[in-house]
Amino acid sequence: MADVTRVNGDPLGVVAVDASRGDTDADGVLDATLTVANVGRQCAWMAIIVKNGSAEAVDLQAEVDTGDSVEAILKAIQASEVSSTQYGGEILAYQVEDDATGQISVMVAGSNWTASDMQTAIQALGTTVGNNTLDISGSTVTDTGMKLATS
Amino acid sequence: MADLTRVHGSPSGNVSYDRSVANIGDISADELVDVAGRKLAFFKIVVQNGSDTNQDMRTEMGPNECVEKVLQIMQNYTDGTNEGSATILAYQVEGDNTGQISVAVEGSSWTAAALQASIRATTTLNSINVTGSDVTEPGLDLA
Repeated sequence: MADVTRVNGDPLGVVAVDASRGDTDADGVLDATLTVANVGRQCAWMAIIVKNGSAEAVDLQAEVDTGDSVEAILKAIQASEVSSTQYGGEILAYQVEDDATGQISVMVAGSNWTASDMQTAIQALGTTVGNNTLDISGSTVTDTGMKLATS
Repeated sequence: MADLTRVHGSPSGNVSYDRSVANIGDISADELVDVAGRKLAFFKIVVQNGSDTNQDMRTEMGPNECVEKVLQIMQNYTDGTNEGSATILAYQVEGDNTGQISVAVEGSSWTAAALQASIRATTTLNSINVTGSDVTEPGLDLA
């Protein structure tokens, strides 16, 4: 029986449903980092470093109770408007680091956020956020794609 | 009118559907919360040869090439006896020579050690030596 070599169906992204194509000149070689969402809506992946006005990282290990700053930040991401016609997006998952780095990683489905817009929204929460009145006015946000850290 | 202070509904995980549970108060481990859908696992794979040299994945994106084969291994979980569950929700291949593939898996039966052993056991994928590949499970810790 004759063999037919499969030449289609590679792991590259499909424009309609994926966040990035990766192979922009279609030569089968990645020209940029490729993120593929197999199901569901496009996701944005943001690394938030919560910092005070002096750009010092804020320890979040004791900030995960009801009404604390982590909740306030997640609410801002979930509820804020990027513009008058665009909501931010739907948080699908998040992780709070168990250390003093102040990092919250969020996976946002159907995101209209840019890192810059999200950073502005979080910084705008101000200097007395949550039950423990944290200063988070120097927080930074980076759109990392789905690149995972070492640990 | 009297106020009622809300004391429940923190951002900590709920046992029923989340991987980690901070319970009440301070966390003592990285707190990964899945707000919707099935439990997610996140794996960082660094494809390396037997000398622990990173293998560039940028040219391994075609049908039957290394990236596809790694994803197929993940999707078809088995411990040698039992089949398990692992639905890849999303993945990212780095556009550099680090050999890193980051994968989000729904309802995963994998441990990092089992996945690492399975990838290494294939020896070569599309002629790429993968015997030194490393797999870690950092949760949703974005780099």
